[in-house]
Amino acid sequence: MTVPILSVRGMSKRFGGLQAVDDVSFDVAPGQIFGIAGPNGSGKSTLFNIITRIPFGATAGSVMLEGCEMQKLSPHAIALAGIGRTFQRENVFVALSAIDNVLVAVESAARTLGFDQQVARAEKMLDLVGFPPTMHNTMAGNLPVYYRKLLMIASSLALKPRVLLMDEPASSLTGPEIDNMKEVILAIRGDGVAIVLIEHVLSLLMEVSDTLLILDQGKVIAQGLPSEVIKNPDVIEAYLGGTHV
Amino acid sequence: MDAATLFSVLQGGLVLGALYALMATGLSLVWTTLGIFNFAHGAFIALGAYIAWQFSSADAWNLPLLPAILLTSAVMFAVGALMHFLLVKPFERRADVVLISVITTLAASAILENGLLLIWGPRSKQIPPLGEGEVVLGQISLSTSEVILLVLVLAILLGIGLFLRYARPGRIMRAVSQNREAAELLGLNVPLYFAIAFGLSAVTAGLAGVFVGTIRFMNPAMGSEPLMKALIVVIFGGVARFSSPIYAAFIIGLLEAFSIYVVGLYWAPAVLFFTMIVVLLIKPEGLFGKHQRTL
Repeated sequence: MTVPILSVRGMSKRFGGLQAVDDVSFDVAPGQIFGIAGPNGSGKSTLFNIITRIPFGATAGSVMLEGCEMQKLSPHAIALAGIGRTFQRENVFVALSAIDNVLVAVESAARTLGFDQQVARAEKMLDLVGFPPTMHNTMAGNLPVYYRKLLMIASSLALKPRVLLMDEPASSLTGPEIDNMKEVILAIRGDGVAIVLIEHVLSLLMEVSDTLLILDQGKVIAQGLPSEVIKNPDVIEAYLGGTHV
Repeated sequence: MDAATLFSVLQGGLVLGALYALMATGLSLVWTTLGIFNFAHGAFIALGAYIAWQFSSADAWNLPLLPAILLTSAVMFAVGALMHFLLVKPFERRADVVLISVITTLAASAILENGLLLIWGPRSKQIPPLGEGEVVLGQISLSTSEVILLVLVLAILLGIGLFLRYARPGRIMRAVSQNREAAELLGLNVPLYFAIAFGLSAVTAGLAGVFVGTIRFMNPAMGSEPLMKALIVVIFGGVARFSSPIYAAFIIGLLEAFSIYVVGLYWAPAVLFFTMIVVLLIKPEGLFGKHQRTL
């Protein structure tokens, strides 16, 4: 494997008596789409939470981005260092227009740019994800779900991340919208950004992922090529429960 | 009520409304951004007045009033930002931050008021008026000081509104107030912007204190009653938007002025509370409020 851009080692998170994430390790190569799947409650989103330290950090473990330790940084410094994230729910600034949402991120990452250049960069990010120019001035709270997801992705990309953690980008979307989201994910990878993708829509996950990791009860139960991982008996048991057909 | 009395009551109501608007805007700024109520806001009002007195009084450093007000604003911003780091930031990730901040800000209020008493003593003080004489419009004569006060307060509120709407830090503060997690993910130093919000809030409280100090005698507890009125304004108007408490402040100011004229000074607060209760029964989120809080 080439030198990983993101290296996660021994990440754990305990809530009282519950071990939500248990000694999870994996590497993501530059330009790779690294899929993560698992049953509900298996610790996927918690893993993203502790990597980004939003809203809480890990109990143990380390996250290296291009060889630099991230866990000692504050959440906003992790984002500026190059780890972007999108949420399962559309986490946007509802009372700001779409373009202002992205501008907040552009201003955060490129303070020295003139306002016109900042607007140009924000528009470029919105174009990259296929956000319609006619909706640039629409309040984010008034946008349909699909466009709010695109807006959230465009805002994350405005920080020029090296790795983007995407938490169920296809949830609550229709079939055609899921197809479009797949193109967006591939376009982001085409732009040189490595992606760690949590997704319950397995067809999408299987189509775009280079590597697949399966979590169950906070532990890694399988990792490898997607076509091999889904045949793993432990994975089938975790999804179907008990003895499988 | 003859025309002269009517204008006099109106003028009094507008001045009260302007002062309440300034005080309530600061309270609302902290509430919409951090989600907590700052009970030290009244002490900030008194602190601003005393600092301005120290800068401007002939018995102290005797600076002209405008530089004194600007310096007071700078000191109050620093005090507000410091108070955020001392009173709120250590507890901001706790689930009971709202309750803890009630206790910490109440404690700060007591410490500040007693500190004022210790430093400047119990004797009442007054800041030089903003202007001398009267402005005569036909048969109506208005106090120049109060006219300047009204104009200044409206200019300050407009400035804060424009700052939040168009300036980069203002847009970021609006973003932070709407969604802390998303703001952090977009690389924003959220505690820094919380401190800026607290600092701005302290500036508005301090300026309100300065203006009160130009028309009334000052004492260390001078912020307690205005804090109560500002609370009424914020609850009455709703805390959904920056502009909500401003409209509410002028309604409360005019209502208070007319209540004092009709039912007397002692019953006026009862009228205000009764009105607030009626409004909350009909519209629990406040007269101009919405269920969602945002700048």
